[in-house]
Amino acid sequence: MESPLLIALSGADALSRRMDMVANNIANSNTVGYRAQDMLFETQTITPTPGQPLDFVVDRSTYNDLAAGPVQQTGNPLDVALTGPGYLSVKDATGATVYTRAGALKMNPDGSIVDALGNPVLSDGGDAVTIPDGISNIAIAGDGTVSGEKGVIGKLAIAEFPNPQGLVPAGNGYFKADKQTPTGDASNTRVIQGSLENSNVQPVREMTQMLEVSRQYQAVVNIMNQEHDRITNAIKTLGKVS
Amino acid sequence: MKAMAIAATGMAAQETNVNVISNNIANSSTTGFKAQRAEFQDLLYENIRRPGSDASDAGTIVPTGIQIGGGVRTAAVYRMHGQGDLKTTDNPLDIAIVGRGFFQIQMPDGTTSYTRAGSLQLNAQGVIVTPDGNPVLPQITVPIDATSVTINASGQVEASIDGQVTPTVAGQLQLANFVNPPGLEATGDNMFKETPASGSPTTAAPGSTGFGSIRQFTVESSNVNIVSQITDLISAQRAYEMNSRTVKTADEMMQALNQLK
Repeated sequence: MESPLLIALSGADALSRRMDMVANNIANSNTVGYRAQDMLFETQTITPTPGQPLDFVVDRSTYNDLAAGPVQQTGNPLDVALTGPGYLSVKDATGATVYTRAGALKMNPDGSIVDALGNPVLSDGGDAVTIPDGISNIAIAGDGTVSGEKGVIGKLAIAEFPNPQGLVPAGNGYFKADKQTPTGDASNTRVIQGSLENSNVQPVREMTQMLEVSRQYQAVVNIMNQEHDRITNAIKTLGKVS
Repeated sequence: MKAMAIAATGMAAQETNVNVISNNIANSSTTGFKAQRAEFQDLLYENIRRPGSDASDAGTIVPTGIQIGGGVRTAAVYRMHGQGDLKTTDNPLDIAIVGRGFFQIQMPDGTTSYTRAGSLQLNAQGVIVTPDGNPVLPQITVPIDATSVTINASGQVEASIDGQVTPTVAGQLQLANFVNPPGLEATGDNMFKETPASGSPTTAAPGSTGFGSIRQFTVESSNVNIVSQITDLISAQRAYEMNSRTVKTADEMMQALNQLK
């Protein structure tokens, strides 16, 4: 197979995954706590003929855009938005600790604070924060301390990481801390009660990226078509038995 | 290429969003209505290249991998139980709850439903009922010859009878409280039903600790904030348009592929 076809194929392959990523960002442009993704490309150089390197393209990795999303006021006492690099800690159904920015919290009938999926939000002590019976005015302070009319009830565990880019999105608004542990110091993060952090997807950027991807894809497919014509011509011309 | 399927999930989610917002706007003058909000979550990711996996024999680790998401889904449509605005009226049986609690209503099938809508009336026998004719629990009967009815902040219903100096106590209203009011199931007609998610009701007289008080000649209108609903509607519409644009672009890309010679 000819190199131009394979190089164009590597381009089309990488671009189709980039399109999937842009589509996922646009679909989640209203999802609370969502972090937009972006893609990193890299060239793979091979030199079959000395002095004439050929560059293939490879999508090396996706990374999360860690910019803060817009904070939207809702007035709900259990809605929290985090400003700063921290995350809320949640225990998911398998018992593992996952991290999230989606602060639309609710209360279970037994009084424990849970997220939208019913998974308990962890406190500093490691278990869920439980609101005792009869407390109706819940106040959440800037450092995550939950208190009611009768005093302090508990403290939401806020986790900051030494490498925020290393968090892996796991769906449902959760991030997994692969091989990382929280630094234990959450002083750079503030909790805002009564607000939600909306998705940080920038629509203008995603739409322009989508146009770009579409045109690049068409250009790459064009190269494949030209290659096809060239090879057909070559076979026809060179293969003529006179 | 899953871009089209992802965009389809986006459009479906925004459709749910618009449905919830338009229900809120339609009920912006409904007594005792509590606004709803749709919440979304991203779908599972496909790990094309797992982060943290070894990049070479020397033990170098891939710092970030390739995760492609699957789109969005509606996680919950959550009902916000904030206090609605209080509107004064001339009807002595219009009562509003200021604070936490629900009125208990006896439904025709024998079950108890709960409501915040306190626009009550008297039926032919003098029993305090809702506009649908369902009596309030505990059942309170106002004497036929009462000239006026007073309901105080702790829910005591007193009727003034012609010729008597002191009003007679006709009954005592009770409020029901739940640990998790958003867990109640809405059955329409301003009524809510108890569910395992809401917890069991605890009843007490209005004004007790943790319960709201009653205000007569007042109704609690809906807690819908029109300005925020309209802004949400605009952003939902734009998100829907952008997702449809994604479908179109993915289609163009596949069309280019189809035209490959």
